[in-house]
Amino acid sequence: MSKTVQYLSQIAAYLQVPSGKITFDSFSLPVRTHNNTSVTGFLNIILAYLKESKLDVLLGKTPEDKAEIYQWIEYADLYLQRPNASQIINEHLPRLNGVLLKKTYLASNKLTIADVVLYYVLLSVMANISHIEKEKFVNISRWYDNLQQDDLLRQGNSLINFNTSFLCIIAPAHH
Amino acid sequence: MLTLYTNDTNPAALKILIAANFGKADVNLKILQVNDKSLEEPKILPYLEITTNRGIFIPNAAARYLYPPVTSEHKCEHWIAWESTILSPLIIHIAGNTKSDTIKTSLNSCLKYLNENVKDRIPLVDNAIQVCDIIIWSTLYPLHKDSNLAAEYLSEFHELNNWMKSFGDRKEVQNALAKIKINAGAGAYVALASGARCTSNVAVNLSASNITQSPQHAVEAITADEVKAAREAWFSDAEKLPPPKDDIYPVLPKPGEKNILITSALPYVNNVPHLGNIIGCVLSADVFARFSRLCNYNTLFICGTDEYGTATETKALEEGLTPQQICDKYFEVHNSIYRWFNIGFDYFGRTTTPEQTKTVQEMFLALNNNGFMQIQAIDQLLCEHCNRYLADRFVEGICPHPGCKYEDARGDQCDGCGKLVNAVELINPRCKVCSKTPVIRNSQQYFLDLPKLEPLLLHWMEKSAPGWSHNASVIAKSWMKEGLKPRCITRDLKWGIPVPVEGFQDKVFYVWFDAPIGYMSMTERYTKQWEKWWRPAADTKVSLYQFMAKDNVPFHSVMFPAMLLGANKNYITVSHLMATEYLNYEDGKFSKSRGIGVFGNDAQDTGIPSDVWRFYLLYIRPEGQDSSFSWVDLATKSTKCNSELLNNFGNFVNRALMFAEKFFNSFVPVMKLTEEDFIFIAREMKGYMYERNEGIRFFFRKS
Repeated sequence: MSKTVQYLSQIAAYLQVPSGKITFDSFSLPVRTHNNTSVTGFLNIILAYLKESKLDVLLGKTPEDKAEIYQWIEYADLYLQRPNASQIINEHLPRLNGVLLKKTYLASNKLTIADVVLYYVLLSVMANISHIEKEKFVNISRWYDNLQQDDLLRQGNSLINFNTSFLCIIAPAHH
Repeated sequence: MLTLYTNDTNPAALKILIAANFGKADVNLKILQVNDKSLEEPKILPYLEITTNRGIFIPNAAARYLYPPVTSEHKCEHWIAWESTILSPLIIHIAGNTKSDTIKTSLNSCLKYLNENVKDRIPLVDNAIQVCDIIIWSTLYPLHKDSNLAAEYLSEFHELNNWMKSFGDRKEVQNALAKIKINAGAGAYVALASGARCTSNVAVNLSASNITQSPQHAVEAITADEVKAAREAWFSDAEKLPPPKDDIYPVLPKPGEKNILITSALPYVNNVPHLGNIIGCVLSADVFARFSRLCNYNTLFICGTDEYGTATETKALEEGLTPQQICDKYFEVHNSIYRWFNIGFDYFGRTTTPEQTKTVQEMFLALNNNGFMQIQAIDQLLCEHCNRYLADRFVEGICPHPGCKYEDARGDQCDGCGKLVNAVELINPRCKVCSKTPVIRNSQQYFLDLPKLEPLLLHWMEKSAPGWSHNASVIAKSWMKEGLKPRCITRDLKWGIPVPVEGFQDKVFYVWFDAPIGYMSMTERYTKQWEKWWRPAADTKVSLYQFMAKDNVPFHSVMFPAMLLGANKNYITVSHLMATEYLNYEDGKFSKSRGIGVFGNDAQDTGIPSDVWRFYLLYIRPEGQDSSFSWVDLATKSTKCNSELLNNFGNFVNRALMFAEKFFNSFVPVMKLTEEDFIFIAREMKGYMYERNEGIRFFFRKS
């Protein structure tokens, strides 16, 4: 649950809006209170941030864009918040890697709030996986490296190294 | 034209179809299996395809797209969040027949909350049906439809029942139900979970403070196929099982059958084995070998003593015997100890055999011919006082690796940092026997060209490492990351296998070159057809399982495979490298010289039967981290043996028998199993398969 608070604060900081007071209701859903209004739910809070920021271009233009964005935020909320790092690496990264094979960004073809949310949710995992794993999830590495070039998004976190010259030579010798 | 791909009877698909009807969108329905090969990542079902390149794989997002909220979007979103993170996971757990009261209570409070909000059948938000109503209704539908579950959970919630009924009567809903049939109860929720690729990650978000964690392991939701398999297995005849194989000699691999070759690391003949050695190597391998034979696999379990090297030479001088006599004497010690422990080797051999000499020399020549040997002149330490070149284990000094400075680093490996050391690099070296400083002499030796073998080794390791125990692959990977250097494989010593090259005949092979080849020569002593195991035919698949303590991992994961691959004779390589951590003795280390620990015959001398020792050692097998032998643990009432075997398992058996006697007149009654029972069986079997790594502890938790 503390991770939820952390992700929401990071997203709010990127959007340059106040994160507000974040608590949890009796069902453990996150509640954000600001200026005497409350919103409940991970996606709901992010939508509220977007409304307050000037960056609602991040919601995409068409209904299809919106739907894809909502989908990724719900995916992060449902599937990525609770498991530990190795579960994420074993179960979810392969899936994400497959999806990113044919995409530069998660939804539509430019940066949206979906990429922003997943950047923060996956930060600690990406910072700690090995070089071999970065090679294995090459599409995620490409997408993530692209995202982290944006200073505003990175917010002072150090750049994760995706340099492939550390990687082992895989070609076998033949006799 | 939109297409909805889904697995059968999935309520998430129902929700999307209903939303499409309200939103007046046309949706084609296609039913697939969950593991259909045409599915692309993320392979989650149901999947709403918008165009060939675009689609939505989260059902609520799809429903929202088809029928967006009309008013009060944030209230709708609140309900949707409640459904996806709270209600849905709870219902899936319930349908999976959880016995947890906490979960049942939580579902109850959810339904109560919902009941309060649907008074008078009014929709949830702003008196108009919105997507949140559709979403929640569809998730509850299978529960409502199942008479048992409805009776258990919905009977007191009249408002909710009415709401379910009236919403269900709507034409949009009826139309959707006509397109896709949704089973009642568990069947639908199993489909929901397997389509969503639900794992324990989508954990139940309980509001109670004593949250019970869903299981650590990621057992996937049970698919309908697995339930079917469980049902068929339950009803099939015991006679249909294959008969156990006869004990034949020799055991040979057969094409089309499962062939398992098992080795445990060869104990050095001079060292009396202690409990740590026993659990780390022979006992672990023995249990696996017995399991393998029970499964009717062709199983061969080979081990023996590693006998060459200076330690034996020195001991021989001390005791006034020849090295061969020393080996004979200590071989018997090992043999009798393992026999007492009931270790079921197919063959327990020795390295001092003609077969070993022949195989080692052949391996060397093969590697040499294939260009993987180099000759270099190196410095070796000669103790003039003892008049012998000092083998690595006979030199000690300060570890040369930067930052280590461990004072008792040995001549081959530093116990402080674990890194390999070249004896000549030690700072302030001293001869272990006489403590004088040895001098350096220059001598030509053969080196195994590991850097040349590195690409081959990496490629092989990539494929093999997934089968290894976690600590083994970590150790091996860190070795490879450091980069390989040529390893010296010959020495100027007397007791060993001579190098078959002109000018080198007075040199012998270094113990780490000859020892692993011992596995092969001992197999040869077992049967002349040994090559069927070590160089299997193309149609015969053999899996090699190697058991050892973690300090042996570098040699079995790098050196030995490099030799086997470089020889290019189609030797099998290890597919499962099982390494244990260290067993401590009452939180300290075993030490023969200081008399600390349980060695050799000590275990037998206590009078405690070997089965008790076996059980206890296996229970404390150091798998993920070091563990500790404790007398208190072993011996007193509150221990593993009494508490686990007697109070836990024994008690369970006793309870079951008493139950049968009391309620069923000592007969096992005919059983009629329901769908939930088969789901339970399928889940337990799956958990059992996955949990085998946890060993004995899993079974005790169950009972």
